[in-house]
Amino acid sequence: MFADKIPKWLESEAKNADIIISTRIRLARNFDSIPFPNWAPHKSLRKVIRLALKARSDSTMLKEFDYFNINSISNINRKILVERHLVSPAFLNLDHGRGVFIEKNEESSVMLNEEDHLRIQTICGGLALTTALIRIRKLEEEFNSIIRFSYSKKYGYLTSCPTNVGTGMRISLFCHLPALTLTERLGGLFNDMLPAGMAVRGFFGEGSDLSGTIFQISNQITLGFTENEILDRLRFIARKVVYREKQAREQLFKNQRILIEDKIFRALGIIQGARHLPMFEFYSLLSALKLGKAVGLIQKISTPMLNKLIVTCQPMHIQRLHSKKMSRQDIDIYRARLVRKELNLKRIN
Amino acid sequence: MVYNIMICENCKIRQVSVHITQIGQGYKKEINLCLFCLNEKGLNSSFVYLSDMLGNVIKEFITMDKAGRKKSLELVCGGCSMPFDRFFETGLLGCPECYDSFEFELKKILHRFHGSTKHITDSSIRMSKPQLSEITDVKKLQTDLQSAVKEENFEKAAELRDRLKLLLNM
Repeated sequence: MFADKIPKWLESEAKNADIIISTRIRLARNFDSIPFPNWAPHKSLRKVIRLALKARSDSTMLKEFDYFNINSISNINRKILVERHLVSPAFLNLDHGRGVFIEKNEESSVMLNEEDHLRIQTICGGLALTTALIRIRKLEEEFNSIIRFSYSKKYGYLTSCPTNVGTGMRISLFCHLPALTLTERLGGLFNDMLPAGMAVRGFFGEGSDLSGTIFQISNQITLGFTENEILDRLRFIARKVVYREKQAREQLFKNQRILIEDKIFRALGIIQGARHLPMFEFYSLLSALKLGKAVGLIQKISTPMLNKLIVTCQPMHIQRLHSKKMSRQDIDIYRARLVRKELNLKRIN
Repeated sequence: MVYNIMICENCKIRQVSVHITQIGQGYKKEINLCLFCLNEKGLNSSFVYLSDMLGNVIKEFITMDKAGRKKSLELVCGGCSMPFDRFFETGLLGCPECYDSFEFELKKILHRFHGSTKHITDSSIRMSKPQLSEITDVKKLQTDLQSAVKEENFEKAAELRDRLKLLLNM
Protein backbone atom coordinates (compact mmCIF):
# COMPACT_ATOMS: atom_id res chain seq x y z
CA MET A 1 0.00 0.00 0.00
CA PHE A 2 1.40 3.36 -1.16
CA ALA A 3 5.00 2.99 -0.07
CA ASP A 4 6.43 2.81 -3.58
CA LYS A 5 4.30 5.63 -5.00
CA ILE A 6 5.04 9.32 -4.49
CA PRO A 7 2.22 11.71 -3.57
CA LYS A 8 1.60 14.16 -6.40
CA TRP A 9 2.05 17.27 -4.28
CA LEU A 10 5.68 16.39 -3.57
CA GLU A 11 6.51 16.49 -7.26
CA SER A 12 5.68 20.17 -7.56
CA GLU A 13 8.15 22.41 -9.33
CA ALA A 14 5.98 25.46 -8.68
CA LYS A 15 7.64 28.82 -8.33
CA ASN A 16 9.05 29.27 -4.82
CA ALA A 17 8.32 25.60 -3.99
CA ASP A 18 11.69 25.62 -2.25
CA ILE A 19 10.28 28.10 0.27
CA ILE A 20 6.58 27.20 0.47
CA ILE A 21 6.68 23.39 0.23
CA SER A 22 2.95 22.80 0.32
CA THR A 23 -0.49 24.27 0.88
CA ARG A 24 -3.03 22.23 2.78
CA ILE A 25 -6.70 23.01 3.41
CA ARG A 26 -8.84 21.03 5.81
CA LEU A 27 -12.59 21.27 6.33
CA ALA A 28 -14.40 19.93 9.39
CA ARG A 29 -17.98 18.87 8.64
CA ASN A 30 -20.63 16.97 10.55
CA PHE A 31 -23.83 15.33 9.43
CA ASP A 32 -27.04 16.84 10.69
CA SER A 33 -28.70 15.24 13.75
CA ILE A 34 -25.99 12.66 14.45
CA PRO A 35 -23.92 13.12 17.64
CA PHE A 36 -20.23 13.99 17.18
CA PRO A 37 -17.87 10.96 17.04
CA ASN A 38 -16.43 11.38 20.55
CA TRP A 39 -19.92 11.05 22.09
CA ALA A 40 -21.80 9.01 19.49
CA PRO A 41 -22.91 5.41 20.06
CA HIS A 42 -21.37 2.80 17.73
CA LYS A 43 -24.61 2.61 15.78
CA SER A 44 -24.31 6.29 14.80
CA LEU A 45 -20.66 5.91 13.82
CA ARG A 46 -21.56 3.06 11.51
CA LYS A 47 -24.30 5.22 10.04
CA VAL A 48 -21.76 7.95 9.26
CA ILE A 49 -19.62 5.45 7.36
CA ARG A 50 -22.65 4.05 5.56
CA LEU A 51 -23.77 7.52 4.46
CA ALA A 52 -20.27 8.46 3.32
CA LEU A 53 -19.96 5.26 1.31
CA LYS A 54 -23.30 5.99 -0.31
CA ALA A 55 -22.08 9.46 -1.23
CA ARG A 56 -19.07 7.86 -2.86
CA SER A 57 -21.09 5.38 -4.89
CA ASP A 58 -23.32 8.19 -6.21
CA SER A 59 -20.47 10.50 -7.18
CA THR A 60 -18.11 10.25 -10.14
CA MET A 61 -15.50 12.43 -8.42
CA LEU A 62 -15.41 10.26 -5.30
CA LYS A 63 -14.96 7.12 -7.37
CA GLU A 64 -11.31 8.16 -7.68
CA PHE A 65 -11.02 7.55 -3.94
CA ASP A 66 -10.20 4.24 -2.27
CA TYR A 67 -11.87 3.43 1.01
CA PHE A 68 -9.93 1.90 3.92
CA ASN A 69 -11.38 0.66 7.18
CA ILE A 70 -8.70 1.71 9.65
CA ASN A 71 -9.43 -1.18 12.01
CA SER A 72 -8.76 -3.75 9.35
CA ILE A 73 -5.40 -2.58 8.02
CA SER A 74 -2.06 -3.44 9.58
CA ASN A 75 -0.37 -1.28 12.14
CA ILE A 76 2.52 -0.43 9.84
CA ASN A 77 0.18 0.64 7.05
CA ARG A 78 -1.71 2.88 9.46
CA LYS A 79 1.50 4.62 10.41
CA ILE A 80 2.40 4.96 6.74
CA LEU A 81 -0.85 6.89 6.26
CA VAL A 82 0.28 9.27 8.99
CA GLU A 83 3.75 9.66 7.52
CA ARG A 84 2.14 10.56 4.20
CA HIS A 85 -0.11 13.17 5.88
CA LEU A 86 -3.25 11.36 4.76
CA VAL A 87 -4.58 10.90 8.28
CA SER A 88 -3.76 12.64 11.56
CA PRO A 89 -1.77 10.87 14.31
CA ALA A 90 -4.71 11.44 16.65
CA PHE A 91 -6.89 9.44 14.26
CA LEU A 92 -4.92 6.27 14.98
CA ASN A 93 -5.40 6.62 18.73
CA LEU A 94 -9.19 6.45 18.50
CA ASP A 95 -10.74 3.07 19.12
CA HIS A 96 -14.14 3.45 17.47
CA GLY A 97 -15.25 2.77 13.89
CA ARG A 98 -13.14 4.86 11.57
CA GLY A 99 -12.49 4.92 7.88
CA VAL A 100 -10.65 6.99 5.34
CA PHE A 101 -11.14 7.89 1.67
CA ILE A 102 -7.89 8.44 -0.18
CA GLU A 103 -7.62 9.84 -3.67
CA LYS A 104 -5.51 7.71 -5.97
CA ASN A 105 -2.97 10.48 -6.54
CA GLU A 106 -3.06 11.23 -2.79
CA GLU A 107 -3.92 14.89 -3.23
CA SER A 108 -7.07 14.65 -1.16
CA SER A 109 -8.33 12.46 1.63
CA VAL A 110 -11.37 12.30 3.89
CA MET A 111 -11.18 10.97 7.45
CA LEU A 112 -14.47 9.52 8.70
CA ASN A 113 -15.22 9.74 12.43
CA GLU A 114 -12.08 11.53 13.53
CA GLU A 115 -12.90 14.50 15.79
CA ASP A 116 -15.71 15.34 13.36
CA HIS A 117 -17.73 13.08 11.06
CA LEU A 118 -15.82 14.31 8.04
CA ARG A 119 -12.37 15.81 7.90
CA ILE A 120 -11.85 16.67 4.25
CA GLN A 121 -8.33 17.69 3.30
CA THR A 122 -6.40 18.49 0.18
CA ILE A 123 -2.68 19.17 -0.32
CA CYS A 124 -1.11 21.06 -3.22
CA GLY A 125 2.59 21.46 -3.87
CA GLY A 126 3.97 25.00 -3.50
CA LEU A 127 1.78 28.00 -2.77
CA ALA A 128 -1.59 27.18 -4.34
CA LEU A 129 -4.33 28.59 -2.12
CA THR A 130 -6.99 29.15 -4.78
CA THR A 131 -6.47 25.77 -6.46
CA ALA A 132 -6.73 24.06 -3.09
CA LEU A 133 -9.89 25.95 -2.14
CA ILE A 134 -11.64 25.19 -5.44
CA ARG A 135 -10.73 21.54 -5.15
CA ILE A 136 -11.90 21.16 -1.56
CA ARG A 137 -15.18 22.97 -2.25
CA LYS A 138 -15.96 20.52 -5.05
CA LEU A 139 -15.20 17.64 -2.76
CA GLU A 140 -17.38 19.10 -0.01
CA GLU A 141 -20.22 19.53 -2.51
CA GLU A 142 -20.06 15.82 -3.39
CA PHE A 143 -20.95 14.95 0.20
CA ASN A 144 -23.33 17.85 0.72
CA SER A 145 -25.48 16.86 -2.25
CA ILE A 146 -26.40 13.65 -0.45
CA ILE A 147 -26.16 14.45 3.24
CA ARG A 148 -27.10 17.68 4.98
CA PHE A 149 -24.32 19.18 7.06
CA SER A 150 -24.95 20.42 10.55
CA TYR A 151 -25.08 24.20 10.14
CA SER A 152 -26.48 27.11 12.11
CA LYS A 153 -26.95 30.65 10.83
CA LYS A 154 -25.38 32.00 13.97
CA TYR A 155 -22.32 29.79 14.29
CA GLY A 156 -21.83 28.39 10.78
CA TYR A 157 -20.67 24.78 10.44
CA LEU A 158 -21.00 23.14 13.85
CA THR A 159 -17.96 21.16 14.89
CA SER A 160 -17.08 18.94 17.80
CA CYS A 161 -14.44 21.36 19.09
CA PRO A 162 -15.59 24.98 19.32
CA THR A 163 -12.20 26.11 18.05
CA ASN A 164 -13.17 24.90 14.55
CA VAL A 165 -16.72 26.22 14.41
CA GLY A 166 -17.72 28.71 11.71
CA THR A 167 -15.96 27.96 8.46
CA GLY A 168 -14.50 24.75 9.87
CA MET A 169 -11.56 25.56 7.65
CA ARG A 170 -7.89 25.35 8.53
CA ILE A 171 -5.24 26.30 6.00
CA SER A 172 -1.62 25.31 6.64
CA LEU A 173 1.44 26.39 4.74
CA PHE A 174 4.61 24.35 5.18
CA CYS A 175 7.56 26.64 4.77
CA HIS A 176 11.28 25.93 4.49
CA LEU A 177 13.15 28.92 5.88
CA PRO A 178 16.86 28.11 6.21
CA ALA A 179 18.24 31.62 5.69
CA LEU A 180 15.85 33.21 8.17
CA THR A 181 16.72 30.49 10.67
CA LEU A 182 20.46 31.03 10.20
CA THR A 183 20.18 34.77 10.62
CA GLU A 184 18.29 34.08 13.88
CA ARG A 185 15.61 36.62 13.21
CA LEU A 186 12.68 34.25 13.08
CA GLY A 187 11.02 34.73 16.46
CA GLY A 188 10.87 38.49 16.12
CA LEU A 189 9.91 38.26 12.49
CA PHE A 190 6.90 36.07 13.15
CA ASN A 191 5.84 38.22 16.05
CA ASP A 192 5.85 41.31 13.84
CA MET A 193 4.25 39.73 10.88
CA LEU A 194 1.47 37.55 12.21
CA PRO A 195 -1.97 39.07 12.28
CA ALA A 196 -4.33 37.96 15.05
CA GLY A 197 -5.50 34.40 14.80
CA MET A 198 -2.50 32.99 12.95
CA ALA A 199 0.07 30.65 14.47
CA VAL A 200 3.52 29.38 13.53
CA ARG A 201 4.86 26.09 14.73
CA GLY A 202 8.16 24.46 14.05
CA PHE A 203 11.48 23.34 15.36
CA PHE A 204 13.73 26.18 16.27
CA GLY A 205 17.18 24.70 15.97
CA GLU A 206 20.00 25.99 18.09
CA GLY A 207 22.27 28.69 16.73
CA SER A 208 23.80 27.73 13.42
CA ASP A 209 22.04 24.37 13.21
CA LEU A 210 19.79 23.76 10.23
CA SER A 211 17.74 20.96 11.71
CA GLY A 212 14.81 23.22 12.47
CA THR A 213 13.98 25.04 9.30
CA ILE A 214 10.54 23.73 8.46
CA PHE A 215 7.61 25.69 9.81
CA GLN A 216 3.88 25.41 9.61
CA ILE A 217 1.87 28.61 9.37
CA SER A 218 -1.86 28.22 9.85
CA ASN A 219 -5.01 30.06 10.80
CA GLN A 220 -6.45 29.33 14.22
CA ILE A 221 -9.54 31.46 14.02
CA THR A 222 -12.43 29.97 12.06
CA LEU A 223 -15.31 32.12 13.29
CA GLY A 224 -15.98 35.71 12.25
CA PHE A 225 -13.94 35.60 9.05
CA THR A 226 -15.14 34.37 5.67
CA GLU A 227 -13.24 31.64 3.84
CA ASN A 228 -11.91 34.17 1.36
CA GLU A 229 -10.75 36.48 4.10
CA ILE A 230 -8.80 33.67 5.74
CA LEU A 231 -7.33 32.79 2.36
CA ASP A 232 -6.30 36.38 1.66
CA ARG A 233 -4.64 36.73 5.05
CA LEU A 234 -2.56 33.62 4.46
CA ARG A 235 -1.66 34.73 0.96
CA PHE A 236 -0.45 38.00 2.41
CA ILE A 237 1.72 36.23 5.00
CA ALA A 238 3.08 33.79 2.42
CA ARG A 239 4.23 36.61 0.17
CA LYS A 240 5.93 38.33 3.07
CA VAL A 241 7.66 35.12 4.18
CA VAL A 242 8.93 34.40 0.66
CA TYR A 243 10.19 37.95 0.33
CA ARG A 244 11.99 37.96 3.69
CA GLU A 245 13.53 34.52 3.14
CA LYS A 246 14.86 35.59 -0.26
CA GLN A 247 16.21 38.80 1.22
CA ALA A 248 17.93 36.84 4.01
CA ARG A 249 19.48 34.45 1.45
CA GLU A 250 20.87 37.34 -0.54
CA GLN A 251 22.33 38.91 2.56
CA LEU A 252 23.89 35.66 3.72
CA PHE A 253 25.54 35.15 0.38
CA LYS A 254 26.81 38.67 0.26
CA ASN A 255 28.30 38.66 3.75
CA GLN A 256 29.09 35.03 4.53
CA ARG A 257 29.36 33.22 1.23
CA ILE A 258 32.19 30.90 2.29
CA LEU A 259 30.38 29.82 5.44
CA ILE A 260 27.19 29.01 3.53
CA GLU A 261 29.01 27.13 0.79
CA ASP A 262 30.78 25.24 3.54
CA LYS A 263 27.45 24.22 5.09
CA ILE A 264 25.99 23.06 1.80
CA PHE A 265 28.96 21.07 0.53
CA ARG A 266 29.69 19.61 3.94
CA ALA A 267 26.11 18.30 3.95
CA LEU A 268 26.71 16.71 0.56
CA GLY A 269 29.93 15.18 1.87
CA ILE A 270 28.26 13.75 4.97
CA ILE A 271 25.48 12.17 2.91
CA GLN A 272 28.08 10.57 0.62
CA GLY A 273 30.05 9.19 3.52
CA ALA A 274 27.34 8.38 6.06
CA ARG A 275 26.78 4.78 7.11
CA HIS A 276 24.17 5.70 9.70
CA LEU A 277 21.81 8.66 9.38
CA PRO A 278 19.37 9.54 12.18
CA MET A 279 16.18 11.33 11.20
CA PHE A 280 17.00 14.62 12.80
CA GLU A 281 20.47 14.86 11.31
CA PHE A 282 18.99 13.94 7.96
CA TYR A 283 16.52 16.86 8.10
CA SER A 284 19.38 19.22 8.80
CA LEU A 285 21.38 17.92 5.82
CA LEU A 286 18.33 17.94 3.58
CA SER A 287 17.65 21.55 4.50
CA ALA A 288 21.22 22.50 3.53
CA LEU A 289 20.86 20.70 0.18
CA LYS A 290 17.54 22.42 -0.49
CA LEU A 291 19.20 25.76 0.16
CA GLY A 292 22.09 24.76 -2.12
CA LYS A 293 19.65 23.82 -4.85
CA ALA A 294 17.65 27.04 -4.50
CA VAL A 295 20.73 29.23 -4.89
CA GLY A 296 22.16 27.21 -7.77
CA LEU A 297 25.16 25.68 -6.01
CA ILE A 298 23.81 22.16 -6.50
CA GLN A 299 22.88 21.29 -10.07
CA LYS A 300 22.27 17.58 -10.45
CA ILE A 301 19.64 17.18 -7.76
CA SER A 302 16.09 18.50 -8.32
CA THR A 303 13.76 20.06 -5.74
CA PRO A 304 11.13 17.26 -6.17
CA MET A 305 13.91 14.69 -5.53
CA LEU A 306 14.67 16.42 -2.24
CA ASN A 307 11.04 16.97 -1.22
CA LYS A 308 10.28 13.32 -1.90
CA LEU A 309 12.85 12.30 0.72
CA ILE A 310 10.92 14.20 3.39
CA VAL A 311 8.28 11.47 3.11
CA THR A 312 10.22 8.38 2.04
CA CYS A 313 12.96 8.62 4.68
CA GLN A 314 10.54 8.31 7.59
CA PRO A 315 10.85 5.19 9.76
CA MET A 316 7.74 3.31 8.59
CA HIS A 317 8.47 3.94 4.93
CA ILE A 318 11.96 2.52 5.30
CA GLN A 319 10.68 -0.60 7.07
CA ARG A 320 7.95 -1.02 4.52
CA LEU A 321 10.43 -0.68 1.64
CA HIS A 322 12.45 -3.61 2.99
CA SER A 323 9.34 -5.45 4.25
CA LYS A 324 10.76 -6.14 7.67
CA LYS A 325 10.61 -4.81 11.19
CA MET A 326 13.79 -2.98 12.11
CA SER A 327 15.47 -1.52 15.17
CA ARG A 328 15.99 2.22 15.23
CA GLN A 329 19.64 1.71 14.41
CA ASP A 330 18.82 -0.44 11.38
CA ILE A 331 16.44 2.22 10.11
CA ASP A 332 19.19 4.84 10.38
CA ILE A 333 21.58 2.56 8.47
CA TYR A 334 19.08 1.94 5.68
CA ARG A 335 18.25 5.64 5.57
CA ALA A 336 21.88 6.51 4.79
CA ARG A 337 21.80 4.11 1.82
CA LEU A 338 18.39 5.21 0.61
CA VAL A 339 19.31 8.90 0.54
CA ARG A 340 22.42 8.20 -1.57
CA LYS A 341 20.44 6.02 -3.93
CA GLU A 342 17.61 8.49 -4.41
CA LEU A 343 20.01 11.37 -5.03
CA ASN A 344 22.29 9.31 -7.31
CA LEU A 345 25.32 9.96 -5.14
CA LYS A 346 28.37 7.69 -4.92
CA ARG A 347 29.40 6.40 -1.55
CA ILE A 348 32.78 7.52 -0.24
CA ASN A 349 34.78 4.46 0.72
CA MET B 1 33.36 29.53 32.61
CA VAL B 2 29.81 28.67 33.61
CA TYR B 3 27.58 26.88 31.15
CA ASN B 4 23.86 27.06 31.54
CA ILE B 5 22.71 23.56 30.61
CA MET B 6 19.00 22.98 30.06
CA ILE B 7 17.52 19.66 31.05
CA CYS B 8 14.93 17.82 28.95
CA GLU B 9 11.36 18.45 30.09
CA ASN B 10 10.31 14.89 29.47
CA CYS B 11 13.03 12.67 31.02
CA LYS B 12 14.59 15.37 33.22
CA ILE B 13 17.96 13.63 32.74
CA ARG B 14 19.51 14.42 29.40
CA GLN B 15 20.56 17.75 27.98
CA VAL B 16 18.11 19.63 25.77
CA SER B 17 18.79 19.39 22.04
CA VAL B 18 15.65 20.84 20.57
CA HIS B 19 13.52 23.80 21.44
CA ILE B 20 10.07 23.67 19.99
CA THR B 21 8.32 26.99 20.05
CA GLN B 22 4.75 27.79 19.19
CA ILE B 23 3.89 31.40 18.65
CA GLY B 24 0.38 32.74 18.32
CA GLN B 25 -1.14 36.10 18.99
CA GLY B 26 -0.96 36.54 22.71
CA TYR B 27 0.88 33.38 23.64
CA LYS B 28 4.23 31.73 23.25
CA LYS B 29 4.84 28.20 24.36
CA GLU B 30 8.21 26.48 24.51
CA ILE B 31 8.93 22.79 24.78
CA ASN B 32 12.50 21.67 25.40
CA LEU B 33 13.41 18.07 24.69
CA CYS B 34 16.46 15.86 24.29
CA LEU B 35 16.88 13.95 21.04
CA PHE B 36 15.95 10.66 22.67
CA CYS B 37 12.61 11.91 24.00
CA LEU B 38 11.97 13.69 20.75
CA ASN B 39 12.13 10.35 18.99
CA GLU B 40 10.20 8.64 21.76
CA LYS B 41 7.41 11.16 21.54
CA GLY B 42 7.27 10.61 17.82
CA LEU B 43 8.17 14.19 17.22
CA ASN B 44 10.90 13.43 14.74
CA SER B 45 8.67 14.33 11.87
CA SER B 46 8.10 18.04 12.15
CA PHE B 47 5.38 17.82 9.53
CA VAL B 48 2.91 15.58 11.17
CA TYR B 49 2.90 15.75 14.87
CA LEU B 50 2.85 19.45 15.39
CA SER B 51 -0.80 19.59 14.51
CA ASP B 52 -1.35 17.30 17.44
CA MET B 53 0.47 19.66 19.73
CA LEU B 54 -1.74 22.50 18.60
CA GLY B 55 -4.71 20.45 19.68
CA ASN B 56 -3.25 20.27 23.16
CA VAL B 57 -2.72 23.99 23.35
CA ILE B 58 -6.36 24.51 22.47
CA LYS B 59 -7.43 22.09 25.14
CA GLU B 60 -5.33 23.90 27.69
CA PHE B 61 -6.97 27.09 26.56
CA ILE B 62 -10.39 25.71 27.30
CA THR B 63 -9.60 23.88 30.48
CA MET B 64 -7.84 26.90 31.97
CA ASP B 65 -11.23 28.27 32.71
CA LYS B 66 -12.62 25.51 34.83
CA ALA B 67 -12.21 27.22 38.18
CA GLY B 68 -15.19 29.20 39.35
CA ARG B 69 -17.66 27.61 36.99
CA LYS B 70 -19.17 25.02 39.24
CA LYS B 71 -22.79 25.91 38.47
CA SER B 72 -22.57 25.56 34.73
CA LEU B 73 -20.81 22.22 35.12
CA GLU B 74 -24.09 20.69 36.19
CA LEU B 75 -25.70 21.50 32.82
CA VAL B 76 -26.66 18.65 30.50
CA CYS B 77 -27.33 18.89 26.76
CA GLY B 78 -30.98 18.41 25.81
CA GLY B 79 -30.03 16.80 22.50
CA CYS B 80 -27.45 14.20 23.44
CA SER B 81 -27.45 14.31 27.27
CA MET B 82 -23.75 15.05 27.46
CA PRO B 83 -22.89 16.76 30.75
CA PHE B 84 -21.12 20.09 30.29
CA ASP B 85 -18.51 18.92 32.77
CA ARG B 86 -17.20 16.51 30.15
CA PHE B 87 -16.46 19.37 27.78
CA PHE B 88 -13.85 20.70 30.17
CA GLU B 89 -12.08 17.36 30.19
CA THR B 90 -12.09 16.66 26.46
CA GLY B 91 -12.54 20.09 24.87
CA LEU B 92 -15.15 18.45 22.65
CA LEU B 93 -18.92 18.84 22.42
CA GLY B 94 -21.35 15.95 22.05
CA CYS B 95 -23.70 17.02 19.26
CA PRO B 96 -24.78 20.07 17.24
CA GLU B 97 -27.44 20.87 19.84
CA CYS B 98 -24.77 21.38 22.50
CA TYR B 99 -24.21 24.79 20.92
CA ASP B 100 -27.70 25.78 22.06
CA SER B 101 -27.71 23.92 25.37
CA PHE B 102 -24.42 25.45 26.56
CA GLU B 103 -24.71 28.68 24.60
CA PHE B 104 -24.24 30.98 27.57
CA GLU B 105 -20.87 29.45 28.52
CA LEU B 106 -19.74 28.67 24.98
CA LYS B 107 -20.22 32.23 23.80
CA LYS B 108 -17.55 33.40 26.21
CA ILE B 109 -15.15 30.72 25.01
CA LEU B 110 -15.87 31.48 21.35
CA HIS B 111 -15.35 35.16 21.94
CA ARG B 112 -12.09 34.63 23.73
CA PHE B 113 -10.71 32.21 21.16
CA HIS B 114 -12.04 33.62 17.89
CA GLY B 115 -12.69 37.21 18.95
CA SER B 116 -16.17 36.77 17.52
CA THR B 117 -19.42 34.91 18.16
CA LYS B 118 -20.96 35.28 14.72
CA HIS B 119 -20.35 33.29 11.56
CA ILE B 120 -19.83 35.36 8.41
CA THR B 121 -19.98 33.89 4.93
CA ASP B 122 -18.80 35.29 1.62
CA SER B 123 -22.36 35.17 0.35
CA SER B 124 -23.72 37.06 3.38
CA ILE B 125 -21.30 39.88 2.59
CA ARG B 126 -22.43 39.91 -1.04
CA MET B 127 -26.08 39.78 -0.04
CA SER B 128 -26.04 42.43 2.64
CA LYS B 129 -25.38 45.44 0.40
CA PRO B 130 -28.17 45.02 -2.16
CA GLN B 131 -30.52 44.05 0.63
CA LEU B 132 -29.86 47.32 2.42
CA SER B 133 -30.45 49.38 -0.70
CA GLU B 134 -33.57 47.36 -1.40
CA ILE B 135 -34.98 48.29 1.99
CA THR B 136 -34.39 52.01 1.42
CA ASP B 137 -35.83 51.60 -2.08
CA VAL B 138 -39.01 50.09 -0.73
CA LYS B 139 -39.43 52.86 1.84
CA LYS B 140 -38.77 55.53 -0.76
CA LEU B 141 -41.17 53.97 -3.24
CA GLN B 142 -43.88 53.73 -0.59
CA THR B 143 -43.65 57.45 0.30
CA ASP B 144 -43.43 58.37 -3.41
CA LEU B 145 -46.52 56.27 -4.07
CA GLN B 146 -48.43 57.94 -1.25
CA SER B 147 -47.57 61.43 -2.48
CA ALA B 148 -48.40 60.43 -6.09
CA VAL B 149 -51.84 59.25 -4.94
CA LYS B 150 -52.33 62.49 -2.99
CA GLU B 151 -51.41 64.48 -6.11
CA GLU B 152 -53.79 62.26 -8.11
CA ASN B 153 -50.94 61.45 -10.51
CA PHE B 154 -52.30 57.95 -11.16
CA GLU B 155 -50.01 57.16 -14.05
CA LYS B 156 -46.96 57.68 -11.84
CA ALA B 157 -48.68 55.85 -8.95
CA ALA B 158 -49.35 52.80 -11.11
CA GLU B 159 -45.75 52.67 -12.22
CA LEU B 160 -44.53 53.00 -8.64
CA ARG B 161 -46.99 50.32 -7.51
CA ASP B 162 -45.66 47.90 -10.13
CA ARG B 163 -42.05 48.54 -9.13
CA LEU B 164 -42.93 48.01 -5.48
CA LYS B 165 -44.70 44.76 -6.28
CA LEU B 166 -41.65 43.57 -8.20
CA LEU B 167 -39.27 44.44 -5.37
CA LEU B 168 -41.40 42.84 -2.66
CA ASN B 169 -41.77 39.65 -4.64
CA MET B 170 -38.07 39.34 -5.27
